[in-house]
Amino acid sequence: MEQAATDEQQLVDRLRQRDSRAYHEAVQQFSGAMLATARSMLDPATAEDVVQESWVAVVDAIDGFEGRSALKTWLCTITANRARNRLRKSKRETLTDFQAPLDPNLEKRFNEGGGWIQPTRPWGSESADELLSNEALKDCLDKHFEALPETQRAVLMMREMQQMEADDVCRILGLSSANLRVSLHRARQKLFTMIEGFRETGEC
Amino acid sequence: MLKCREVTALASDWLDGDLTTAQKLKVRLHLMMCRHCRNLVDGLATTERIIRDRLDAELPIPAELQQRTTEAIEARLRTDQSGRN
Repeated sequence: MEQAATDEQQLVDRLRQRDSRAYHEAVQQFSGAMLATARSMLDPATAEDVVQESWVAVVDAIDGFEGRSALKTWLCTITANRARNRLRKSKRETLTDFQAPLDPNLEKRFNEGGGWIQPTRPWGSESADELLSNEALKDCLDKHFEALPETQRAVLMMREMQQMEADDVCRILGLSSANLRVSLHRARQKLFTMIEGFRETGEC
Repeated sequence: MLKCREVTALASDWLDGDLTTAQKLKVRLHLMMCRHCRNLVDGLATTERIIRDRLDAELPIPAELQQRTTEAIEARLRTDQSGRN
């Protein structure tokens, strides 16, 4: 871990010195995460353009990198900012109802008194390992991730996958911290009901 | 005593450790007595693990993108260099 931190510091120093080889290495090392971040908000071609633009912006911004987060997280934050600026409100966007604590598919499993009508069956740790190695589940998960409302998809990518700071994600997406949490919970709930269905039927 | 629906609404915050002490006690008490909600919390925890392990935090970079990115950076570095001289 310490070696990784030293390597990263050396890379940052070389980036600050405008060393083109350092940029080449960094592009190879970090563009994959930046592209995943941009893709959570944009179509493939626009996401690629945003990654390229972000790297050019990094040349100007690297002197301001303070090392408070990992370099990768910082690069993803720059990318997410630029992706958000490009984002045109999609007509397909299903707005999250921030007042409702549960995803509709989960909500309908409770009666009016708040008790289960259709309870969850047991999830064993063994089945988690089996699920993790199941390729059909991976395809199904990718499909459902793509189908999440934009805000939920972006929040899941930035917070869960790229470990960006909550404050940064709120600022980029224009969300309050309470609504950020609701978006994250609702995305997890949607994927939970998808995985639960997959476990029981083997189908996506 | 919390209802099952309320516990489900708090489950994600429970797993993240983001509840107040009073809320934590109420959820813990409910989970001790309700296997359906224990199943829900187990399932949600597994879901989070699967999300982190299986969703792509990185995508493959097309060679063409890498090429044009490198060129754009080098052009920017040259401008930067001439500006400094």
